Amino acid sequence: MTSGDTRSDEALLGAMAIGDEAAGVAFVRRYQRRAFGLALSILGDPGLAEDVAQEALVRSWRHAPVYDSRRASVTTWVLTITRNLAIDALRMRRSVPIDPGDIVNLGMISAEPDPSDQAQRGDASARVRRALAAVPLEQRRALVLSAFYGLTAEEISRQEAIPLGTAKTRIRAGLGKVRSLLAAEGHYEGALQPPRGPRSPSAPAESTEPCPPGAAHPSHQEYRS
Amino acid sequence: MTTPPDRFADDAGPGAAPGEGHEKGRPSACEFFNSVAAELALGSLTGAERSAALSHLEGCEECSAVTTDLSAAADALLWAAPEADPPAGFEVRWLARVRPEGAPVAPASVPPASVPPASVPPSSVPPSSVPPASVPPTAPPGGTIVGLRRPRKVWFAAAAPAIVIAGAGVGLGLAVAPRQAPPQSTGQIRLASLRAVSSYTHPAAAGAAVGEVAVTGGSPSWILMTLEEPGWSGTVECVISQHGRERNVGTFYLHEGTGTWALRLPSPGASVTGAEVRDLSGSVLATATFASSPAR
Repeated sequence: MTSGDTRSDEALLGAMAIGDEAAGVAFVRRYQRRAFGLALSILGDPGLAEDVAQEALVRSWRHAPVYDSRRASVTTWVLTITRNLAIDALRMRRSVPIDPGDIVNLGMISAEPDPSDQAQRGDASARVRRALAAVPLEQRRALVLSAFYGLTAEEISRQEAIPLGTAKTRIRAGLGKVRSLLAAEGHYEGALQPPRGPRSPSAPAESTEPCPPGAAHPSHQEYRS
Repeated sequence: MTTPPDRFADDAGPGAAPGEGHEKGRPSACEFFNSVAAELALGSLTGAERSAALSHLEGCEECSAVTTDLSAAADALLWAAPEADPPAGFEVRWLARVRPEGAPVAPASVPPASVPPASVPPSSVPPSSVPPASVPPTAPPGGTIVGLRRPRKVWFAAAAPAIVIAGAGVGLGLAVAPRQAPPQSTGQIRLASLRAVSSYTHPAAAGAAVGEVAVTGGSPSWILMTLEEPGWSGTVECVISQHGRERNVGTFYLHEGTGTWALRLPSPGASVTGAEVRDLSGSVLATATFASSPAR
């Protein structure tokens, strides 16, 4: 749901950094559905997902002064914070086995944009869903377990009852295929996400990793409305 | 020798050491890197493999380019999650959490929440179910909001002596029964923020506060360190600066960037000028500098 605030994400973060509450509220309105949707996809619990989304957006507020657009898009930054908090929450209640089926099989593989997504963002999401859907199921499961649930190859091998090497191969092949498909669709041409370096274990990498100087930041194209 | 790209498909274990050359039966550094690059990009590579991969990455432009591509793809995956409407009142609750203590809850300058109709039931899980911080579902009576960071610091300062003693007695297994410390042993407590450096993982970017460290004066002296921002997992070292020299005073474990640790210092804490958290390869994750004069 849009807030009507036409400032770019970076401008909002800049205003948030100096304590501009209105900017913060606009930022929350812009990202609450994304953050909550991701948390809900991972956790499957609306109450817990709200707590995680709240915390992610509170942290966005607190860390706005140190956000670096050269390292990641704002969307990636927020989503990665959300993902890591969701993983933390998941580990706190690990008594419930992880079943990636919901993410693997349901909305994620829809080739159509979510009608509630904003236009450009929806296109980008649909591209990623299409790419993910094109990945063979066993590779997709390994990829989802790693990307969304933060599992290591060793943990995936145990969960899926497959050799460690097979788990590694599935992760590698799956991500490689996604990368190729997104490149073929021109996903990166709009600089949806500035390049960055490797992510640290189960932690966001949105602003600690190097990125070529001058990398375009997409947020003002994506979310102006 | 021909080496298929996926040579580690079914035989590489976590202990598969990265080779630096092309010895028979051993992968080259680039081959090894390619076998783990996806896991590195996804953030699921740990331990020795991660250290070896990062070490290789520093000097190999080709593998850096591969990593950049894969990392972009890994980031893009999160975009696939469908959006969903949070419960009604979401932004008001957010605002309540970020407002300074004493500020009214209802935002005068912000129009009423434009959150779309809730498509999911209200929160059914207590706020404490989120590990990093509890989330007040509604504002406290009177509209006063208790911020997150300030109470933590207050708690930290007030609890430091007790935690140091208890931590030493329980956490470290020392034969020291927790007891009331004499005033002189904890009378000079100095606090400093631990600031992330570039190798600390995000959301704390370089320079961001990721935790706090306290050093007591008197005899015995103690150091208490706590980190609370999502980040690195693994064993880390605490290195203090004292008398112009650095000294490794112990190790502890960080889980996802979170951990608390206490130790009795072998020398008076009053002369400690700084503290660092380092990983076992020596990379500094966070650093703190103490003011020259005690806080109290």
